[in-house]
Amino acid sequence: MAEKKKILIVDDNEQNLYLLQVLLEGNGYRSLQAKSGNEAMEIAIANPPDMVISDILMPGMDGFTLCRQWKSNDKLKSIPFIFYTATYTDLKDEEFSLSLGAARFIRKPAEPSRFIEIIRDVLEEYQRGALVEPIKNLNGEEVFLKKYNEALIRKMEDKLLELEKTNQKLSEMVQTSKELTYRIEAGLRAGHLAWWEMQLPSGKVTFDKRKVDLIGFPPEMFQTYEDFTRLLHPDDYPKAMQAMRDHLEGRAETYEVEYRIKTSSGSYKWFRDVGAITEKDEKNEAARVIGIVEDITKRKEAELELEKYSNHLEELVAERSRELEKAHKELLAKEKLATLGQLAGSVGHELRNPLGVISNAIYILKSSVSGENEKTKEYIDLISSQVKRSNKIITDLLNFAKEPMLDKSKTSVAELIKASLEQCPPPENVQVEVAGIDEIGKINVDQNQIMQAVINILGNAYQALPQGGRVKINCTQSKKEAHISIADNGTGISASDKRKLFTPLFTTKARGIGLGLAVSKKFIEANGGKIKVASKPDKGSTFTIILPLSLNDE
Amino acid sequence: MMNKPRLLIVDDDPLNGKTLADIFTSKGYQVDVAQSGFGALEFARSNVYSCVLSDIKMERMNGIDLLCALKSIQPDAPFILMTAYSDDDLIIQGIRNGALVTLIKPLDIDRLLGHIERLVKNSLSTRGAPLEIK
Repeated sequence: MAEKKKILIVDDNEQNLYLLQVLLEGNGYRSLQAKSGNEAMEIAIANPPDMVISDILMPGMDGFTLCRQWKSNDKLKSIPFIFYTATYTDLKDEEFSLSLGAARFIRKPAEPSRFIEIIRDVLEEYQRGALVEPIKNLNGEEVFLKKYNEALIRKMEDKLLELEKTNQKLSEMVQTSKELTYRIEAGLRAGHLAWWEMQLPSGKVTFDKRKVDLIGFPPEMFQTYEDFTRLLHPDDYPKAMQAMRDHLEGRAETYEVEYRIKTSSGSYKWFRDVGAITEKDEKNEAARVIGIVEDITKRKEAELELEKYSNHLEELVAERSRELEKAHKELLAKEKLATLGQLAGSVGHELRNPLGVISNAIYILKSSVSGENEKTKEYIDLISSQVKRSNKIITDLLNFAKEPMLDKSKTSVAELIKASLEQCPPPENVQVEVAGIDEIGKINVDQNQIMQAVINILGNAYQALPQGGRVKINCTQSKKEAHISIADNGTGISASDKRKLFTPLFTTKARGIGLGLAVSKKFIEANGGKIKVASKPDKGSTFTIILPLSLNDE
Repeated sequence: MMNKPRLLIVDDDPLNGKTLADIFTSKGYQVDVAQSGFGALEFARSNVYSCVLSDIKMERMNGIDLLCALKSIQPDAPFILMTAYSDDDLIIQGIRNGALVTLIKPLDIDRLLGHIERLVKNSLSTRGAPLEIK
């Protein structure tokens, strides 16, 4: 089997060398490679090939010079020389090349099959000895140099043109890049955004100057990731660290977190920080992370405000619901009382007629039994007192059921108290002390209503003293009000009873319908006053009626 | 002896009329009892009264209607109203139409007797001796 033919390839471009090597070796040739004319000469002299394929423009020694030296070397001159070139080929170049003794001039890119075909032809011609000898008239040094220079100048001109084009392209690219940077910068600024970059494992950070502008510190302060993280709000630090770890360790597709960071003024600003790994090292670990921070302080503040407001709103709604519920209950209670009041009113009125007849009958009986049976008299008195009592209950009911109609007049407190005591005299075992009634101004009230209130309270005080005791009536006045307090040292009222004291139909007594204090309160309030109660079980109770004083000189 | 002063009691509750009549009779008055406003007008056409004592709430003709009607027959007869309804609008109407006193049932008989005694005296002094008239 014939030995493989050796072909020397000369090209300053390594990629071209490689491509040719693959092509040749794939077609049953061996290849030698040289990156310059000088190297090619050295290799060829030491180990002459069967063919040389050379580029033209190469640093140090160009293809033309190589060809001339090759053809001048006695050991090499018979070995076929082929130019394979892409740069600025011209018919004149081909002519010049062939005049130097080159066997062929092939333009890049050549079809691989066509290229191999040429190689085979040339090798065959070489073996047949059919290769043309270099044209001798070019051997003259002067002519060679002239042609050589012409060829080179042509090539240099073309190269310059190409360079200019490249330059143009580059400046266009620079312009585009500037424009792009400008857009990105403007966009970032408008969005209160800034970019950052972190290298790993060093943790060194590079950042948009705006990132530090946003928090107001000098940029020199920040060299590493930690320089930023130590400014994080303590509450946000763990979640920011976690977010970064999750991304670096592959648990999260991106690094994304919202945090507060301390600014140079000491206050905190809210940021949204988003980033992602852009490069990995050979161990497939993150080497570079790039991200963007956004100042979201305003949005966060708005959110917090909204949250606060919504919480407040919930409170308001809850409070309002409670009020409504209470009002609803009160309304129900009022309706119930109103119905009850109406019923009580009509029943009460109807009862007054038979009571009237009984009372008339008692009067007749009293006059007809005078001086007779003591027992009969006693019972007649008993009936009489019970009629009065019944009528008192009816009166309370009617007073409670109807809307009070005011008949106000300027009233002396002293006279009002005296009249009340006359109508509601204390039992024998109760002493009544009165103080301050003469020093107090007049009040403008419906006399009957206030008297009714005082009588009800007095009656209660007597009842709180089943074993006897004392009742103190004390009158004082402040700037605009008269205070009438009625205090007993009796049984007192428990705290739970005290709350229900003025509620209609509430009573602690075995007998009574629980309207006395409700009616008193109603009358006092209708006259622009208030009623207060202070009480301790077993110490006694004090009821205070507060009424506006009559204006002077009325 | 002079004629007894004559009273007219009007009440649709006959027991009230009867008991009051008994009381006033025992106090020396001559008493007529009517159970309705119409009955009262009937009495008033044939008798002259020193005082008329009427319930307010009665069917068909109430105490106020009676008061107004009586004015044309016996304009000088003093009129006392009595009622079980202390908050009745009719009380105010009665006072506007010349009722002298309004009393709430059950009646305070001593007070009522006092009023009547005074009214009868007054009517005797202003009207000379009307009680002579039959």
